[in-house]
This record gives sequence, C-alpha cells and structure tokens, in this order.
Amino acid sequence: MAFTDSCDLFASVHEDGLNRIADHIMRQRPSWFHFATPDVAANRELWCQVPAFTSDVERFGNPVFTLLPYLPVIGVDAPPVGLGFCVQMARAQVDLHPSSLFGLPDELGSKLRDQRLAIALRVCGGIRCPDPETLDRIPVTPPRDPRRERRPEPPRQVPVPGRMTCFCLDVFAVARVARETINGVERVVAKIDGVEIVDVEPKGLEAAMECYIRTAITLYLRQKLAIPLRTFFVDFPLFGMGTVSLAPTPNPPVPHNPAVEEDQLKVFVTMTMTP
Amino acid sequence: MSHLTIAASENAFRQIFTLVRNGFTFAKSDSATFGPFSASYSLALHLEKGTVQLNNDGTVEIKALDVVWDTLLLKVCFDFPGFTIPGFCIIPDPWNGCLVGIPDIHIGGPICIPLNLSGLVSEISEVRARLKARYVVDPGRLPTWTDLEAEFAGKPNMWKIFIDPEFVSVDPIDIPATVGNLFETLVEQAIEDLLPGSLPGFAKDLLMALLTPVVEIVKGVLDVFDSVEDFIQDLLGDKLDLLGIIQTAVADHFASKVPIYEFEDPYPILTDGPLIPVKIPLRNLKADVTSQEMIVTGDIG
Repeated sequence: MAFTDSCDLFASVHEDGLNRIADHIMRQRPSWFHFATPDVAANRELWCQVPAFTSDVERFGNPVFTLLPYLPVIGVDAPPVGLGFCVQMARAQVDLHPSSLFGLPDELGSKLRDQRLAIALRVCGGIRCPDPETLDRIPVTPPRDPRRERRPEPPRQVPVPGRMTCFCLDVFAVARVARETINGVERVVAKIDGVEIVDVEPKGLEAAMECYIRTAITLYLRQKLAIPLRTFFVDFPLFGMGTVSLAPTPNPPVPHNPAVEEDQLKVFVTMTMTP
Repeated sequence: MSHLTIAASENAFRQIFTLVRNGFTFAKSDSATFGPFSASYSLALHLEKGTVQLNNDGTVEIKALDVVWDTLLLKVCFDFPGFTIPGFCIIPDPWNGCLVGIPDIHIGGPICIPLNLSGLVSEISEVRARLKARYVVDPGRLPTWTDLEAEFAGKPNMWKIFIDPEFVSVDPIDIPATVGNLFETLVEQAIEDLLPGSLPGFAKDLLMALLTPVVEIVKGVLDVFDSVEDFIQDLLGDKLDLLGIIQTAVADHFASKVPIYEFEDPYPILTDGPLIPVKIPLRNLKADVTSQEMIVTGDIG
C-alpha cells in the first residue's frame, strides 16, 4: 500500500522523532518551559531544575526564564509582600497510539484509545520560604489618610528572600490532534481531552490543579505549539507553486487527517491543478 | 523506522519535475576547424514537454523531452578554390575584335555561409535517473559559526534531492529539407558575391548559369557526401558535438544544479516572535521512488 493512495502528499513523524523535536524546542526556547520571579531567575542556587539550553540562547540574548511577578501574600498590603517562585518543565514526552513509551494512570484509561496521544510531563516548582526573622524585619506601613491624599500611590510590593522549597509533579495528559486555522494559517494542534496529576491529595485540590494545568496546556499548545501544516512537509516545493493548490485531504477518503496511529502523526494533502 | 517520512504521488512528482524542467536554460557559443572548413555556432535552448514514469526499481524515466532551440546560429566558412573564368566576347566586332566582351575573371577566396536554425525542436528520447540526496555545506560558511549564525548570514547548510541521471539519450537534430535548400541558395549567393561588382547584372546571371556545378565543388570542399541536411546534422551533432553538450548540460542541470527538493539543515520549525527560531537537525536523508510515489525519509538528529 502506498503512502499516497488517497492523497498527493503525505507526511508522518514517528513518536521518537516527535520527542527529539520536543527536546530541541525545550533547549532552544528554554523560556517557554522555565518560569520564575526575577530573584529566582537571577540565582541558580534557587532553581528547582538547571535548564539545558543551546549556546545560541545566550549568544543571541534570549532569556532562559520567562519572568513572572512575585506571588502575592494574600491579605497583606501594608506593604504588600511577594514571594519568589519558579515553575519549570523538567521533562516532556509524547506517546502516540498505540501506547508504547509509558503507561497512563487508570483515571486516563491506562492505554490510549484510537487516534489519541499521551503527554507525560514532569513539572517542578518551588516557593521561596522566608524565615520568621525576615518577616519580622518588614516594617509595617502606617495607614494612609484619604483626606490628605486624594489618590494615594499604592505601596510597592516587597519581595522577601527565603530558601527555595521545591517539589515535582508527574502530569499525564491525553489529547487528540486537529486542524485549526490560527492567524490565517492552517495548523495542526493538540486538543487536551484529560489531565491527571499523580499522587495529589485531597481530591478537590487535585481537581483544581488539574483544571489549572489543563487550561494552561490547552492554551499553551494553541498559542505556542500549533504547527503550520506545511511545516510537516519541510518546504516541499509544491507549497507556494502558483499552478497548484494544496488542501488537507477530506473524509472520505481519509477518515482522520491529521491521524495518530502506528506511533506516528500523519497528515495528508490533496493537490488540485489551478488553470 | 525513520523519524520522518514525506511522500509525493506520481502526479505530484510530475509537477515538481515540471518546475525543475522549466528551470533549465542553456546558452553557448564556440567554433572549430575541420580541415578545409571551419564552423562556429551560437545557441540558446530550453526544455519542454516530456513524460515521467516512476519505477519500482527506484528509477525515474523521462521520455520525449523536447529541446527547443531558441537560438541556433551556425556559420560555415571555407576557402573557395580559386580559378579563372576565361574572358569571352558577347558581341563580336564584324570587322575586327569584340565590341562587348567579358574579361578574364578570377574568383575564389574565403566564403562564409550563415544559417539561422532558431526555432528547431529536437528531442531527448530518454533520461533514466535515480533520486539522490546530497548534503551541501555553504562554502562561504565560517567554521566558527553556529547553525543559527550561518542562517542569519544567509549561508545555511542544505539538504538537496536531485534527479541524478544514469544516462541521457539525445536524438540527432533533425534538419528539414528546406534548410538544405537554403544552404545551397546561400552558397550560390556567396559565390555570386565573389564576382566583380562592376559586372552588369545580365553578365552575372550568365556567369552563374555557367557556374552551376560550382555548388558541387563546394560540396566537395565540405565533404558533403549525401544531402546537405545530413551534412548539417552531422556537423552540429557530431563534429561540433552539440548532442554531447546537451547531454552534459541536461545531466548537470538535473544532477547538481536544480534540485527537486531542498531545505535548510537544521530546519526552522518555529520562527514567529522575537526569540531565535527553533531549528531541527535532519539526518540520514534518503530519497527513493516506487511505481506509485516518491518517498523521502530522514531522522531527527
């Protein structure tokens, strides 16, 4: 059976290749996977993971961390106090149907269903925990008199130092792939069906965290990792050729396009001659 | 199993072939001496048509590829053997001598016959080839550059897949009979031009009538054993080796000048935004065909 029995152009990426691509993306765009407040980003002693990145990242002045605002301490506003923290992706792995690289938690069905892929993430994070003496040294701001200051300046947030307490979570997600036009470009994007965090209690906390992670991954995939369809064909010469128009092959004859099967992500394109 | 597989149907492959074929242009001028005569040419040509067939043995067969000679100017030069036409009297003087006569005329010397064969179409009857993937390092790339610096300098490494011909069969250039007739006319005209300009027209006509066999002399000089068309065909194809030149030019074009598929290595997959592009190294690239499609495979490095 030929690859192009039902189409004119076919491209597939094996899961082993996808995982290498994921590794390259993480090493060339570390700031997409490592987030921290400025104090943590500037002090490698506070990192929960040492990011691996290529020499070009620093050579071209790209950040290793995406900087985030300090975590506000709730109820504290005189002055407001913020804690340093980081969230880092330590590992990411993709397994395309059928399951072969890793198992899934029972909550996600143990094994992948047809046309599904699994993502295994190890996410590490930590918060700087100030000692009591540090907190005692933060002066309390006197209350403001609204009769003397019509529009009082909000007091500046005070970041407090502290030792980093890190933890890691193993997160599994199950997704399918779909085509979606984003910013006028037809792209292939993964759609999250479910997320499971291993060993988090109580259940309500786990559910809330899973909701946050599912939201983050869903938006992240759409915004950052929606790959243009033509990228799968690596600049194939027919793309951009005036006398040929290329479009994803419809169903029928191709039931799933893109398809996740045989440990591969496959895309099918049909060519039409333009008069 | 390869990390990456890209396949193009035979129909899609034909479209790519059309792109590569249309990219072929060739021009050349040269001259050579062949004993009693010399020849020079100036040519420019392109390719049209052609059928493509993919085979299970990994070969690509291209047949009936037209060679369109946009310009084909041929000039044949030789020394016309000198001889003297004895003078004779046209109107004798009844008493003595000659009232109107033709003096002894010596003709001979260099003659050049220009032929404009532009517009001819000949054929490459068959090209048999295999696909070949080549890794090309830009010669202008500095050894200290990273891949990204090379890309920003416009000198990235490239993967290129070529149709690499094993042989190219070029048919002889078919010269129509009209060209043979034209050649003979031009020879006669050139000889007439050798006659003194002072001769009146009727005298030239008279002399040319007498000199009709001179075309045969010229044919002898040029070793034209058969028809003039065959002579020109042999001159262009074999003596001036235009068939060999086309063969080499077409083979070079497909094998090393215009790839059917090329892309940067590492290949940029994420290029939006202010950050450096994410580039993926591709290794072990292979290209092959079956009777149904072209298949390109490779690994992520």
